[in-house]
Amino acid sequence: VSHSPQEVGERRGITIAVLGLDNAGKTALISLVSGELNPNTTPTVGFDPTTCDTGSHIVRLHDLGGGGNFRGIWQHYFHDCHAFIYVIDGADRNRFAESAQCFKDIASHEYMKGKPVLVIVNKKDLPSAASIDEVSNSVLKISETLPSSAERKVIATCAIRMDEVAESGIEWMIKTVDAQYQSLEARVAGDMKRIKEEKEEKRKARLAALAAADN
Amino acid sequence: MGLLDFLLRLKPTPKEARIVILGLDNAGKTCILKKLSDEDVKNLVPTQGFNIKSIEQQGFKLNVWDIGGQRAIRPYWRNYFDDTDVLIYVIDSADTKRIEEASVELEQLLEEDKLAGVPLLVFANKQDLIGASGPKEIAEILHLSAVRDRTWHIQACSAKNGDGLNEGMQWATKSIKSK
Ligand SMILES: Nc1nc2c(ncn2[C@@H]2O[C@H](COP(=O)(O)OP(=O)(O)OP(=O)(O)O)[C@@H](O)[C@H]2O)c(=O)[nH]1
Ligand SMILES: Nc1nc2c(ncn2[C@@H]2O[C@H](COP(=O)(O)OP(=O)(O)OP(=O)(O)O)[C@@H](O)[C@H]2O)c(=O)[nH]1
Ligand SMILES: [Mg+2]
Ligand SMILES: [Mg+2]
Repeated sequence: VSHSPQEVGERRGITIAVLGLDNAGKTALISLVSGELNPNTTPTVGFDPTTCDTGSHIVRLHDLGGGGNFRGIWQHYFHDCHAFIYVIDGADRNRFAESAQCFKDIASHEYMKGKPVLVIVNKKDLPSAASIDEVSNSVLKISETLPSSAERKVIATCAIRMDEVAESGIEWMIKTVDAQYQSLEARVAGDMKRIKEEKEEKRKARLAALAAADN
Repeated sequence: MGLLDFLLRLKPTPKEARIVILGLDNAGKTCILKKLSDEDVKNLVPTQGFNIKSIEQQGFKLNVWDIGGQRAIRPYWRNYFDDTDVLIYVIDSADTKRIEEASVELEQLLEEDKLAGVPLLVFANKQDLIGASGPKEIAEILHLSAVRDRTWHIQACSAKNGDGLNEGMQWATKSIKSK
């Protein structure tokens, strides 16, 4: 049996992208599930990976800033994740349409399509928060948006207090990825290889152009 | 709450950190350092060696090293890499002609063993100038989205009027704390 580098020491590596509009609560949720509750987050304008060792898996959560002009960068982080978490602010009804479009764009991207997804309806503590049912069926229209083969689960959380629902969601995600690890890992490895090759070509071209400009 | 959580919280946080500021010549590195320490930012001259200043930030003592960026002295950058807690890379956002050069230099820095895993703060400087590129454009030209082995953050700023500098330093401090 050959092991991929991700599997060294029998512990499988799982990479999960955490996505959603700015202010949805992505950073707060990651803090919560990694055991450092933090109600005073500041907007993320970049990339912040958190690595958790669950004993059976090494889980990397990729926190990406959700600000409008920044979302274009996300796609560069799609190919190396095994699954993704989509966070929506359940109380921010003015941005439901924007969030639905964002969800659709991710779910239909070639590097994401069909991967397991955990949808988190966050800020359930706020009085105007939508229910799981409303978000699933009316806002994100999950069954229309995801291919039927994609595993999915929807939970409602509050990220600024201790909340075991978030943790159980992550557990579901790890179990689900684990069950189809071989095929997901093969897909990730293949996409990573292809992108690396493309990048190397571009890099050579850039260096050549720079050298030419120097002369 | 498990014992592990308790131990995590008891973990002492360092009180002192070393920050290295790099970037092409004329990017505004010295200007940023001077502005952060409330010094006059007129009549700056290219840095031949380095400047070092200690800055207090949220109970932290940040020892900030500003190193000259002229091409001839870039080979000496590596003398300053040891024990770096945060790497700050400064871009002249208005000098579109040289962003590509800045990108290539950064790419090399990120491959340095001594800087492996070190959090990266990019200051997209000179936002006060007309024609300055925004942080998202700069992130793309610098290929920051290829960076996975460390946390990174891009901060729009102007060392001339001070905008964005404190926000950037707050992120730097936070990334030291959560290390
Ligand atoms: N009431 C309430 N507020 C929350 C909850 N989760 C997060 N917040 C607050 O919402 C704001 C945004 O949370 P973040 O975690 O920073 O949001 P984000 O999705 O990471 O945003 P970007 O980094 O800009 O993409 C913060 O002020 C949080 O304290 C929640 O469940 N309930
Ligand atoms: N308009 C504007 N000018 C700036 C800004 N920051 C720096 N400058 C100017 O850019 C020039 C170069 O600034 P320095 O701080 O000396 O640049 P440096 O990166 O230290 O350059 P080296 O020491 O040669 O590596 C100076 O004339 C500064 O006044 C800014 O935010 N806006
Ligand atoms: Mg965030
Ligand atoms: Mg200087």
